[in-house]
Amino acid sequence: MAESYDVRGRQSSILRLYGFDKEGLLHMVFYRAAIFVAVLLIASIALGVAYAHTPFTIYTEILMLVMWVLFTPQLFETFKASSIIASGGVVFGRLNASFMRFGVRRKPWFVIYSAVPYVAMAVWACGFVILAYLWLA
Amino acid sequence: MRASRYEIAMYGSMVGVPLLMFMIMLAMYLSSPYAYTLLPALLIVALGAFAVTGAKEIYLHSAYPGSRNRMVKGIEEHSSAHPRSTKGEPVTIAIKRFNAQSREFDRISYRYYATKLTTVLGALIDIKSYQDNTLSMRYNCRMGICGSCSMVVNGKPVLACETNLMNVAEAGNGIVEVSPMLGHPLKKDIAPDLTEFFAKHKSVEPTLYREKAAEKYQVKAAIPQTKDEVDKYLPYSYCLMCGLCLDACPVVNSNPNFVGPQALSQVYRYHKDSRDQKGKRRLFDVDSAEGVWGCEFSGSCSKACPKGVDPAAAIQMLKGSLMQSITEDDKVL
Repeated sequence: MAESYDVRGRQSSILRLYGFDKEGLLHMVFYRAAIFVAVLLIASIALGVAYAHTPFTIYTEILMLVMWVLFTPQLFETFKASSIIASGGVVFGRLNASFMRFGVRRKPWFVIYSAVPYVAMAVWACGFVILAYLWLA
Repeated sequence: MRASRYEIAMYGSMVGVPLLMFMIMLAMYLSSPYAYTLLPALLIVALGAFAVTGAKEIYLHSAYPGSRNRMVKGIEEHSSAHPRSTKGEPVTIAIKRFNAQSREFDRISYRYYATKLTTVLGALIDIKSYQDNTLSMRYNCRMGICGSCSMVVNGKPVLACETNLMNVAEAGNGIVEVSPMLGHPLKKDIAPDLTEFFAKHKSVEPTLYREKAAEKYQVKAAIPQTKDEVDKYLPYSYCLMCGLCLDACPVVNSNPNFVGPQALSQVYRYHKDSRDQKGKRRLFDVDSAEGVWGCEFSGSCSKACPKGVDPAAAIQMLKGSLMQSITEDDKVL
Protein backbone atom coordinates (compact mmCIF):
# COMPACT_ATOMS: atom_id res chain seq x y z
CA MET A 1 0.00 0.00 0.00
CA ALA A 2 1.33 3.45 -0.89
CA GLU A 3 2.50 5.63 1.96
CA SER A 4 0.39 8.57 2.93
CA TYR A 5 1.66 12.09 3.44
CA ASP A 6 0.63 14.15 6.46
CA VAL A 7 0.63 17.95 6.40
CA ARG A 8 -0.92 18.39 9.85
CA GLY A 9 0.79 19.42 13.02
CA ARG A 10 1.45 23.14 12.67
CA GLN A 11 -0.38 25.95 14.45
CA SER A 12 -0.58 27.81 11.12
CA SER A 13 -3.07 25.15 10.01
CA ILE A 14 -5.78 26.96 11.96
CA LEU A 15 -5.65 29.69 9.27
CA ARG A 16 -7.54 27.27 7.01
CA LEU A 17 -10.65 28.36 8.90
CA TYR A 18 -10.53 31.69 7.07
CA GLY A 19 -12.24 30.12 4.06
CA PHE A 20 -15.45 29.10 5.80
CA ASP A 21 -15.50 29.89 9.53
CA LYS A 22 -14.17 33.32 10.46
CA GLU A 23 -15.87 33.20 13.86
CA GLY A 24 -13.97 30.04 14.74
CA LEU A 25 -10.71 31.53 13.45
CA LEU A 26 -11.19 34.61 15.63
CA HIS A 27 -11.83 32.41 18.65
CA MET A 28 -8.70 30.32 18.04
CA VAL A 29 -6.39 33.26 17.31
CA PHE A 30 -7.62 35.32 20.27
CA TYR A 31 -7.11 32.35 22.61
CA ARG A 32 -3.51 31.93 21.53
CA ALA A 33 -2.86 35.67 21.77
CA ALA A 34 -4.40 35.74 25.25
CA ILE A 35 -1.88 33.20 26.48
CA PHE A 36 1.03 35.46 25.56
CA VAL A 37 -0.66 38.57 26.93
CA ALA A 38 -1.36 36.73 30.19
CA VAL A 39 2.37 36.16 30.67
CA LEU A 40 3.09 39.82 29.96
CA LEU A 41 0.36 40.86 32.37
CA ILE A 42 1.75 38.75 35.19
CA ALA A 43 5.17 40.29 34.66
CA SER A 44 3.69 43.76 34.52
CA ILE A 45 1.78 43.34 37.78
CA ALA A 46 4.79 41.85 39.53
CA LEU A 47 7.14 44.60 38.32
CA GLY A 48 4.58 47.23 39.25
CA VAL A 49 4.37 45.93 42.80
CA ALA A 50 8.15 45.62 43.06
CA TYR A 51 9.16 49.02 41.68
CA ALA A 52 6.13 51.30 41.69
CA HIS A 53 4.42 49.83 44.78
CA THR A 54 1.16 49.49 42.91
CA PRO A 55 -0.08 46.59 40.82
CA PHE A 56 -1.60 48.91 38.24
CA THR A 57 0.95 50.87 36.28
CA ILE A 58 0.08 52.30 32.88
CA TYR A 59 1.51 49.15 31.24
CA THR A 60 -0.65 46.89 33.41
CA GLU A 61 -3.72 48.96 32.60
CA ILE A 62 -3.12 48.78 28.86
CA LEU A 63 -2.37 45.06 28.96
CA MET A 64 -5.44 44.41 31.04
CA LEU A 65 -7.62 46.27 28.55
CA VAL A 66 -6.07 44.23 25.75
CA MET A 67 -6.71 41.06 27.74
CA TRP A 68 -10.30 42.17 28.21
CA VAL A 69 -10.76 42.33 24.45
CA LEU A 70 -8.95 39.04 23.84
CA PHE A 71 -11.18 37.26 26.31
CA THR A 72 -14.38 38.39 24.61
CA PRO A 73 -14.74 35.40 22.23
CA GLN A 74 -13.81 32.99 25.03
CA LEU A 75 -16.53 34.39 27.25
CA PHE A 76 -19.09 34.30 24.46
CA GLU A 77 -18.25 30.70 23.59
CA THR A 78 -18.36 29.70 27.28
CA PHE A 79 -21.88 31.05 27.72
CA LYS A 80 -22.84 29.60 24.35
CA ALA A 81 -21.61 26.17 25.45
CA SER A 82 -23.59 26.51 28.68
CA SER A 83 -26.73 27.29 26.68
CA ILE A 84 -26.10 24.29 24.45
CA ILE A 85 -25.68 21.99 27.45
CA ALA A 86 -28.74 23.37 29.24
CA SER A 87 -30.97 23.10 26.17
CA GLY A 88 -29.68 19.71 25.01
CA GLY A 89 -28.23 21.11 21.80
CA VAL A 90 -31.37 22.95 20.65
CA VAL A 91 -30.18 26.50 21.37
CA PHE A 92 -27.14 27.53 19.29
CA GLY A 93 -27.05 24.01 17.89
CA ARG A 94 -26.73 23.01 14.24
CA LEU A 95 -28.72 19.82 14.42
CA ASN A 96 -30.26 18.22 11.37
CA ALA A 97 -33.01 20.49 10.03
CA SER A 98 -35.52 17.69 9.54
CA PHE A 99 -34.98 16.46 13.10
CA MET A 100 -35.33 19.98 14.48
CA ARG A 101 -38.60 20.43 12.66
CA PHE A 102 -40.25 17.17 13.61
CA GLY A 103 -38.36 15.76 16.58
CA VAL A 104 -37.75 18.70 18.85
CA ARG A 105 -40.13 20.68 20.95
CA ARG A 106 -38.74 24.10 21.77
CA LYS A 107 -39.53 24.95 25.37
CA PRO A 108 -40.55 28.55 26.18
CA TRP A 109 -37.57 29.14 28.44
CA PHE A 110 -35.13 28.39 25.63
CA VAL A 111 -35.45 32.08 24.79
CA ILE A 112 -33.53 32.83 27.97
CA TYR A 113 -30.79 30.40 26.94
CA SER A 114 -30.60 32.18 23.58
CA ALA A 115 -30.21 35.57 25.21
CA VAL A 116 -27.70 34.69 27.93
CA PRO A 117 -24.50 34.95 25.81
CA TYR A 118 -25.52 38.30 24.36
CA VAL A 119 -26.46 39.69 27.79
CA ALA A 120 -23.09 38.52 29.06
CA MET A 121 -21.39 40.27 26.14
CA ALA A 122 -23.29 43.47 26.88
CA VAL A 123 -22.22 43.38 30.53
CA TRP A 124 -18.66 42.58 29.46
CA ALA A 125 -18.60 45.49 27.02
CA CYS A 126 -19.94 47.88 29.68
CA GLY A 127 -17.22 46.72 32.03
CA PHE A 128 -14.60 47.44 29.39
CA VAL A 129 -15.92 50.95 28.86
CA ILE A 130 -16.01 51.67 32.59
CA LEU A 131 -12.50 50.33 33.15
CA ALA A 132 -11.10 52.22 30.17
CA TYR A 133 -12.72 55.40 31.48
CA LEU A 134 -11.39 54.88 35.00
CA TRP A 135 -7.86 54.29 33.83
CA LEU A 136 -7.35 56.24 30.66
CA ALA A 137 -9.64 59.25 31.06
CA MET B 1 -5.45 8.78 31.82
CA ARG B 2 -7.85 11.00 33.76
CA ALA B 3 -7.11 14.63 33.12
CA SER B 4 -10.10 16.16 34.84
CA ARG B 5 -8.19 18.11 37.49
CA TYR B 6 -5.87 19.63 34.92
CA GLU B 7 -8.75 20.47 32.64
CA ILE B 8 -10.71 21.90 35.58
CA ALA B 9 -7.72 24.20 36.23
CA MET B 10 -7.70 25.23 32.58
CA TYR B 11 -11.39 25.89 32.31
CA GLY B 12 -11.49 27.35 35.80
CA SER B 13 -8.83 29.86 34.84
CA MET B 14 -10.70 30.70 31.63
CA VAL B 15 -13.68 31.65 33.80
CA GLY B 16 -11.63 33.06 36.68
CA VAL B 17 -9.55 35.51 34.66
CA PRO B 18 -12.44 37.50 33.17
CA LEU B 19 -14.37 37.23 36.43
CA LEU B 20 -11.48 38.68 38.43
CA MET B 21 -10.88 41.41 35.88
CA PHE B 22 -14.55 42.31 36.14
CA MET B 23 -14.35 42.32 39.94
CA ILE B 24 -11.31 44.59 39.83
CA MET B 25 -13.25 46.97 37.62
CA LEU B 26 -16.15 46.98 40.07
CA ALA B 27 -13.85 47.37 43.06
CA MET B 28 -12.16 50.35 41.43
CA TYR B 29 -15.50 51.86 40.58
CA LEU B 30 -16.57 51.45 44.20
CA SER B 31 -13.17 52.64 45.47
CA SER B 32 -12.61 49.44 47.37
CA PRO B 33 -9.10 48.68 48.67
CA TYR B 34 -9.45 45.08 47.46
CA ALA B 35 -8.86 46.36 43.93
CA TYR B 36 -5.20 46.92 44.79
CA THR B 37 -4.47 44.05 47.14
CA LEU B 38 -6.41 40.82 47.16
CA LEU B 39 -7.91 40.88 43.67
CA PRO B 40 -4.64 41.49 41.75
CA ALA B 41 -3.04 38.66 43.74
CA LEU B 42 -5.87 36.32 42.77
CA LEU B 43 -5.63 37.59 39.20
CA ILE B 44 -1.94 36.66 39.05
CA VAL B 45 -2.80 33.13 40.19
CA ALA B 46 -5.59 32.82 37.63
CA LEU B 47 -3.42 34.27 34.84
CA GLY B 48 -0.64 31.87 35.75
CA ALA B 49 -3.00 28.90 35.56
CA PHE B 50 -4.38 30.16 32.25
CA ALA B 51 -0.94 30.77 30.75
CA VAL B 52 0.51 27.44 31.94
CA THR B 53 -2.43 25.29 30.86
CA GLY B 54 -2.86 27.17 27.60
CA ALA B 55 0.84 27.10 26.76
CA LYS B 56 1.00 23.41 27.58
CA GLU B 57 -1.95 22.79 25.26
CA ILE B 58 -0.31 24.79 22.46
CA TYR B 59 3.05 23.10 23.08
CA LEU B 60 1.39 19.69 22.95
CA HIS B 61 -0.32 20.70 19.74
CA SER B 62 3.00 21.75 18.22
CA ALA B 63 4.89 18.63 19.31
CA TYR B 64 3.79 16.65 16.29
CA PRO B 65 6.62 16.79 13.73
CA GLY B 66 4.40 17.39 10.71
CA SER B 67 5.76 18.12 7.31
CA ARG B 68 6.00 21.20 5.24
CA ASN B 69 3.09 21.91 3.01
CA ARG B 70 4.44 23.10 -0.28
CA MET B 71 2.37 23.96 -3.26
CA VAL B 72 3.97 24.06 -6.66
CA LYS B 73 2.24 26.39 -9.06
CA GLY B 74 4.01 25.12 -12.10
CA ILE B 75 1.71 23.03 -14.14
CA GLU B 76 -1.40 24.63 -15.55
CA GLU B 77 -3.19 23.18 -18.47
CA HIS B 78 -6.19 24.67 -20.12
CA SER B 79 -7.62 21.75 -21.99
CA SER B 80 -10.54 22.40 -24.26
CA ALA B 81 -13.05 20.06 -22.76
CA HIS B 82 -15.54 18.18 -24.85
CA PRO B 83 -18.70 20.15 -24.04
CA ARG B 84 -21.47 17.98 -22.70
CA SER B 85 -23.99 20.49 -23.86
CA THR B 86 -23.73 23.54 -26.08
CA LYS B 87 -25.85 25.31 -23.48
CA GLY B 88 -23.20 24.82 -20.77
CA GLU B 89 -21.44 27.69 -19.03
CA PRO B 90 -17.64 27.63 -19.10
CA VAL B 91 -16.09 27.15 -15.68
CA THR B 92 -12.46 26.82 -14.73
CA ILE B 93 -11.87 24.04 -12.23
CA ALA B 94 -8.47 24.27 -10.56
CA ILE B 95 -7.56 21.06 -8.78
CA LYS B 96 -4.80 21.02 -6.20
CA ARG B 97 -3.47 17.52 -6.75
CA PHE B 98 -1.11 15.87 -4.33
CA ASN B 99 1.79 14.23 -6.15
CA ALA B 100 2.73 11.17 -4.12
CA GLN B 101 6.14 10.83 -5.82
CA SER B 102 7.37 14.39 -5.40
CA ARG B 103 5.31 14.99 -2.25
CA GLU B 104 4.27 18.33 -3.61
CA PHE B 105 0.99 19.83 -4.71
CA ASP B 106 0.36 20.53 -8.39
CA ARG B 107 -2.33 23.04 -9.26
CA ILE B 108 -3.85 21.93 -12.54
CA SER B 109 -6.71 23.83 -14.19
CA TYR B 110 -9.37 22.30 -16.39
CA ARG B 111 -11.96 23.96 -18.55
CA TYR B 112 -15.42 22.57 -18.07
CA TYR B 113 -18.86 23.37 -19.44
CA ALA B 114 -21.43 23.16 -16.70
CA THR B 115 -25.21 23.30 -16.58
CA LYS B 116 -27.19 24.66 -13.67
CA LEU B 117 -27.64 21.16 -12.21
CA THR B 118 -24.01 20.06 -12.46
CA THR B 119 -22.43 19.07 -9.17
CA VAL B 120 -18.73 19.32 -8.39
CA LEU B 121 -18.52 15.52 -8.33
CA GLY B 122 -20.24 15.27 -11.70
CA ALA B 123 -17.71 17.68 -13.15
CA LEU B 124 -14.78 15.78 -11.66
CA ILE B 125 -16.09 12.50 -13.07
CA ASP B 126 -16.40 14.11 -16.50
CA ILE B 127 -12.89 15.53 -16.25
CA LYS B 128 -11.58 12.09 -15.37
CA SER B 129 -13.57 10.51 -18.20
CA TYR B 130 -12.83 12.98 -21.01
CA GLN B 131 -9.82 15.10 -20.11
CA ASP B 132 -7.45 13.53 -17.63
CA ASN B 133 -7.94 9.93 -16.61
CA THR B 134 -5.03 10.13 -14.15
CA LEU B 135 -7.14 12.09 -11.69
CA SER B 136 -7.70 10.13 -8.48
CA MET B 137 -10.54 10.77 -6.06
CA ARG B 138 -12.97 8.95 -3.83
CA TYR B 139 -16.66 8.75 -4.68
CA ASN B 140 -19.43 6.21 -4.56
CA CYS B 141 -23.17 6.82 -4.18
CA ARG B 142 -23.25 10.30 -5.74
CA MET B 143 -26.29 11.12 -3.58
CA GLY B 144 -24.91 12.31 -0.25
CA ILE B 145 -25.34 9.13 1.76
CA CYS B 146 -21.98 7.33 1.66
CA GLY B 147 -19.67 10.19 2.62
CA SER B 148 -16.90 9.15 0.19
CA CYS B 149 -16.57 12.30 -1.92
CA SER B 150 -15.40 14.64 0.85
CA MET B 151 -13.08 17.37 -0.38
CA VAL B 152 -12.44 21.08 -0.03
CA VAL B 153 -14.15 23.33 -2.58
CA ASN B 154 -13.20 27.01 -2.56
CA GLY B 155 -11.82 26.66 0.94
CA LYS B 156 -14.83 24.91 2.45
CA PRO B 157 -15.00 21.19 3.31
CA VAL B 158 -18.03 19.76 1.47
CA LEU B 159 -19.45 16.63 -0.10
CA ALA B 160 -18.76 17.09 -3.81
CA CYS B 161 -21.94 15.28 -4.84
CA GLU B 162 -24.09 17.75 -2.91
CA THR B 163 -22.30 20.92 -4.07
CA ASN B 164 -23.68 22.77 -7.06
CA LEU B 165 -20.86 23.74 -9.40
CA MET B 166 -22.44 26.92 -10.78
CA ASN B 167 -23.20 28.31 -7.31
CA VAL B 168 -19.61 27.80 -6.25
CA ALA B 169 -18.27 29.20 -9.53
CA GLU B 170 -20.35 32.37 -9.18
CA ALA B 171 -19.04 32.88 -5.66
CA GLY B 172 -15.48 32.31 -6.86
CA ASN B 173 -15.62 34.59 -9.93
CA GLY B 174 -15.82 31.69 -12.36
CA ILE B 175 -13.06 29.62 -10.77
CA VAL B 176 -13.69 26.57 -8.64
CA GLU B 177 -10.73 25.42 -6.55
CA VAL B 178 -10.84 21.81 -5.49
CA SER B 179 -8.30 20.46 -3.05
CA PRO B 180 -7.99 17.39 -0.84
CA MET B 181 -8.88 17.41 2.82
CA LEU B 182 -5.65 18.48 4.53
CA GLY B 183 -7.05 17.40 7.89
CA HIS B 184 -6.29 13.80 6.92
CA PRO B 185 -3.10 12.21 5.56
CA LEU B 186 -3.06 12.23 1.76
CA LYS B 187 -2.75 9.35 -0.67
CA LYS B 188 -2.82 10.84 -4.14
CA ASP B 189 -4.41 13.80 -5.94
CA ILE B 190 -7.55 14.57 -3.91
CA ALA B 191 -7.92 11.15 -2.29
CA PRO B 192 -7.20 11.14 1.46
CA ASP B 193 -5.96 8.28 3.61
CA LEU B 194 -8.77 7.54 6.05
CA THR B 195 -7.06 4.69 7.93
CA GLU B 196 -6.32 6.84 10.99
CA PHE B 197 -9.81 8.33 10.87
CA PHE B 198 -11.44 4.90 11.02
CA ALA B 199 -9.03 3.84 13.75
CA LYS B 200 -10.04 6.81 15.90
CA HIS B 201 -13.69 5.92 15.35
CA LYS B 202 -13.05 2.32 16.33
CA SER B 203 -11.09 3.37 19.42
CA VAL B 204 -14.25 4.71 21.11
CA GLU B 205 -16.05 1.37 20.68
CA PRO B 206 -18.99 2.66 18.64
CA THR B 207 -21.33 -0.26 19.24
CA LEU B 208 -24.08 -0.94 21.71
CA TYR B 209 -22.76 -2.61 24.86
CA ARG B 210 -24.96 -5.12 26.64
CA GLU B 211 -23.97 -6.72 29.92
CA LYS B 212 -25.60 -10.10 29.43
CA ALA B 213 -23.34 -12.48 27.54
CA ALA B 214 -26.28 -13.75 25.51
CA GLU B 215 -27.02 -10.23 24.25
CA LYS B 216 -23.48 -9.17 23.47
CA TYR B 217 -23.53 -10.27 19.86
CA GLN B 218 -27.17 -10.90 19.05
CA VAL B 219 -30.21 -9.45 20.72
CA LYS B 220 -33.17 -11.84 20.52
CA ALA B 221 -35.86 -9.21 20.74
CA ALA B 222 -36.07 -5.52 20.01
CA ILE B 223 -35.38 -3.30 22.99
CA PRO B 224 -38.28 -0.84 23.22
CA GLN B 225 -37.57 2.85 23.43
CA THR B 226 -39.86 5.81 23.80
CA LYS B 227 -39.76 8.68 21.31
CA ASP B 228 -38.04 10.88 23.89
CA GLU B 229 -35.35 8.26 24.43
CA VAL B 230 -34.75 8.01 20.69
CA ASP B 231 -34.68 11.79 20.23
CA LYS B 232 -31.81 12.07 22.69
CA TYR B 233 -29.39 10.37 20.32
CA LEU B 234 -31.13 10.25 16.92
CA PRO B 235 -29.48 13.24 15.14
CA TYR B 236 -26.05 12.01 16.23
CA SER B 237 -26.73 8.68 14.54
CA TYR B 238 -26.93 10.40 11.15
CA CYS B 239 -23.14 10.44 10.88
CA LEU B 240 -21.84 9.26 7.49
CA MET B 241 -18.20 9.11 8.56
CA CYS B 242 -17.33 11.43 5.72
CA GLY B 243 -14.44 12.99 7.65
CA LEU B 244 -15.38 16.59 6.88
CA CYS B 245 -15.58 17.49 10.57
CA LEU B 246 -12.01 16.34 11.18
CA ASP B 247 -10.85 18.30 8.17
CA ALA B 248 -12.59 21.42 9.48
CA CYS B 249 -11.38 21.00 13.05
CA PRO B 250 -8.44 23.37 13.73
CA VAL B 251 -7.33 21.24 16.68
CA VAL B 252 -7.00 18.10 14.54
CA ASN B 253 -5.12 20.11 11.93
CA SER B 254 -2.60 21.29 14.53
CA ASN B 255 -2.58 18.22 16.81
CA PRO B 256 -3.28 14.92 15.00
CA ASN B 257 -3.36 13.09 18.34
CA PHE B 258 -6.73 14.66 19.13
CA VAL B 259 -9.34 11.95 18.62
CA GLY B 260 -11.57 14.34 16.69
CA PRO B 261 -15.18 15.50 16.61
CA GLN B 262 -16.54 12.49 14.73
CA ALA B 263 -15.45 9.94 17.34
CA LEU B 264 -16.56 12.16 20.21
CA SER B 265 -19.98 12.71 18.67
CA GLN B 266 -20.37 8.96 18.46
CA VAL B 267 -19.35 8.60 22.11
CA TYR B 268 -22.21 10.95 22.94
CA ARG B 269 -24.53 9.06 20.61
CA TYR B 270 -23.99 5.78 22.43
CA HIS B 271 -23.80 7.40 25.86
CA LYS B 272 -27.30 8.79 25.34
CA ASP B 273 -28.73 5.58 23.88
CA SER B 274 -30.83 3.97 26.62
CA ARG B 275 -30.02 0.53 25.22
CA ASP B 276 -26.33 0.97 25.94
CA GLN B 277 -25.17 -0.39 29.28
CA LYS B 278 -21.60 0.80 29.29
CA GLY B 279 -22.51 3.71 31.52
CA LYS B 280 -19.86 6.13 32.69
CA ARG B 281 -17.00 4.10 31.23
CA ARG B 282 -17.70 5.71 27.87
CA LEU B 283 -17.16 9.11 29.45
CA PHE B 284 -14.01 8.11 31.31
CA ASP B 285 -12.51 6.63 28.14
CA VAL B 286 -12.47 10.09 26.51
CA ASP B 287 -11.66 12.04 29.67
CA SER B 288 -8.19 13.09 28.50
CA ALA B 289 -6.34 15.94 26.81
CA GLU B 290 -6.52 14.06 23.50
CA GLY B 291 -10.15 13.22 24.15
CA VAL B 292 -13.02 15.51 24.93
CA TRP B 293 -10.87 18.18 26.60
CA GLY B 294 -8.83 18.75 23.46
CA CYS B 295 -11.80 20.51 21.93
CA GLU B 296 -11.53 24.31 21.96
CA PHE B 297 -15.10 24.79 20.72
CA SER B 298 -14.42 26.67 17.51
CA GLY B 299 -17.59 25.06 16.12
CA SER B 300 -16.10 24.52 12.66
CA CYS B 301 -16.96 20.83 12.68
CA SER B 302 -20.68 21.54 12.95
CA LYS B 303 -20.47 24.09 10.15
CA ALA B 304 -18.86 21.52 7.86
CA CYS B 305 -21.12 18.58 8.74
CA PRO B 306 -23.43 17.84 5.78
CA LYS B 307 -25.97 15.88 7.84
CA GLY B 308 -26.56 18.14 10.83
CA VAL B 309 -24.91 15.84 13.36
CA ASP B 310 -23.60 18.90 15.27
CA PRO B 311 -20.48 17.31 16.78
CA ALA B 312 -19.58 20.59 18.52
CA ALA B 313 -22.76 20.48 20.59
CA ALA B 314 -22.25 16.78 21.32
CA ILE B 315 -18.75 17.45 22.65
CA GLN B 316 -19.93 20.30 24.90
CA MET B 317 -22.67 18.07 26.27
CA LEU B 318 -20.09 15.33 26.81
CA LYS B 319 -18.03 17.81 28.84
CA GLY B 320 -21.14 18.66 30.85
CA SER B 321 -21.87 14.96 31.45
CA LEU B 322 -18.29 14.36 32.54
CA MET B 323 -18.31 17.24 35.01
CA GLN B 324 -21.60 16.02 36.47
CA SER B 325 -20.37 12.44 36.74
CA ILE B 326 -17.14 13.16 38.63
CA THR B 327 -17.48 11.87 42.19
CA GLU B 328 -14.96 10.48 44.66
CA ASP B 329 -16.38 6.97 44.68
CA ASP B 330 -16.74 6.51 40.93
CA LYS B 331 -15.85 3.00 39.96
CA VAL B 332 -14.73 2.07 36.48
CA LEU B 333 -16.79 -0.81 35.12
